Amino acid sequence: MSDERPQDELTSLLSAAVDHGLTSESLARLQALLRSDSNARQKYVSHMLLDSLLTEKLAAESVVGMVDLLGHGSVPDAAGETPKSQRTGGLPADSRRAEVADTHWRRLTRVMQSQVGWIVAAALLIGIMVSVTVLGQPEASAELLLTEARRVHSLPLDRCYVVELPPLTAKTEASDVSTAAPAGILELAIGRVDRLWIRGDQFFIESSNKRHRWVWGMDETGTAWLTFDPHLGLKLESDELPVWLGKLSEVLSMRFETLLTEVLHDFELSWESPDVGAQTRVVRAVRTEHSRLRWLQEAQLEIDIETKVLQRITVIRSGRFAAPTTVTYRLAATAAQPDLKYQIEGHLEEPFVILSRDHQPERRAEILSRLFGKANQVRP
Amino acid sequence: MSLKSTDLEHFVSQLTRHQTRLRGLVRCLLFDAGQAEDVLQDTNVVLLRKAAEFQSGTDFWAWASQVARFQVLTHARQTSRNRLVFDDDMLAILAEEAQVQAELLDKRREALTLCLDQLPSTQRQLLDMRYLMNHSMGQIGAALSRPEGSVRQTLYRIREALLNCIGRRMAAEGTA
Repeated sequence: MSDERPQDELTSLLSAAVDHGLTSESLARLQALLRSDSNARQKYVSHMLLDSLLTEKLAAESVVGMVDLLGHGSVPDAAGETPKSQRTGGLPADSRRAEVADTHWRRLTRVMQSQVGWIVAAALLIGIMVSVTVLGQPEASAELLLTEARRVHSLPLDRCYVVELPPLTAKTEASDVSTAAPAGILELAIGRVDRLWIRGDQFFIESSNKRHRWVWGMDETGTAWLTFDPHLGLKLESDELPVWLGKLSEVLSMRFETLLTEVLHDFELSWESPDVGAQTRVVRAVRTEHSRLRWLQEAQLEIDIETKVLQRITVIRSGRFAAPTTVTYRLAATAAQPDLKYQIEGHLEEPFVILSRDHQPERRAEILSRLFGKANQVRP
Repeated sequence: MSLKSTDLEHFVSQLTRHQTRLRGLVRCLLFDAGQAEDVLQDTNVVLLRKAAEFQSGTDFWAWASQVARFQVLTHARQTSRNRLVFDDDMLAILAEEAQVQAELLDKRREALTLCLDQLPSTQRQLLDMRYLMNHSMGQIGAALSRPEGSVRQTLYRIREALLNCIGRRMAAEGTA
């Protein structure tokens, strides 16, 4: 360490100091450097202050939801109205935050006017500080919790969800010919979905059907792909994706970032009072007449308060694509997956053939037609 | 000694207004962000207990920062045997520097908001992993399939870029 150039050494020590990487040896070096160099001291303090600001700014947002656990949000007011933190329609988020912060302030000062309430007031104040940092910081609401969840789910992290999905009936499928999935796909794609891996808007689904092994996915360019044999697969570019397959991808993959965006945009949100000590909150999103996701009637989103990760999602689907059906997605694992897993090549064994628009398109069309039915086949 | 309700309101107002500075000051003196947060809360409790001693019209920051420094010192002495902490002299030297820089922290905070908006999305994602999700370097490295050291370096460079951006904005406003 001491052989490094002073500037490099300072950089390395500052980085370790901010990001919890110091050892007793590097602490001694840092201390010696700071003692002898006022510029180094200035720089150290600048970095630590910035770290403090980032913690306050970003992590304060991450405690959204904690305020209600302190108890203020679940008690109806004197008029018997729903507590403000449970109402989500109407006011813009900033106005609601200001309103709730103001409520905090008035409540605090009211308690403080009584000297008897001093300890209670102190506890309240500390509670507020712990949870929202200072008055005026983001306040807890279903909308803010979903906003944070959307941010977390846009990060390039891999998560695996177990999908519990009741099979659709042939009758349902046959009743909706124009845009519904053709007969074959019901067995292929919906019969028994086992594991869904998602990373942002990329996904792949692995079938648990031992007789018909398949993997279906979508990469970051929007190209859909499918393998049903270790040596054969096919690709569909985003501009040649049939409507029904696009919809099916949307429904089954449950691309959470997109889902959360839509739900935040024009669904009516509410949440129940949390159980004491609960680590999650359940937000209920109900479709309104303006909602663009016509297939989604209602969703219940169970979100970890601390990590903002969706733990369990129950969706009630509706619309032309399928009869009302409840599908549950349960978080099973968070583990890094190789980039290749989100591409078809990651699921094939050499030697393999990939059918595409540029390679044997007729054969691809024939296979798709055989698998999914002729009504909605992809043209070569 | 009791406090009139108007004085109390003023005191609480000052205390909440100075939270950002107090947090920054404590963070400069303690490496462990979790410990820093604990000490900040201890400081708040002490300040509330001593509210009656504060004379309205005097410099709240000067008074509160002294209390915070004392709390850090107490914490450091209690934990120095088994934790990584600066020695007393170093704490005093850094506290002087931090007290001065922290006076501009509210302005820096405003500038930071604008600077964060200008970050490329990949850099913002990394900050979110570190601060929003509170992931360790190891967890971030594993998620991105990158070595821990490389994540640490990237985060350092992002913070350097943010500091430069904040400096430029404050200079432009004449507050640097």
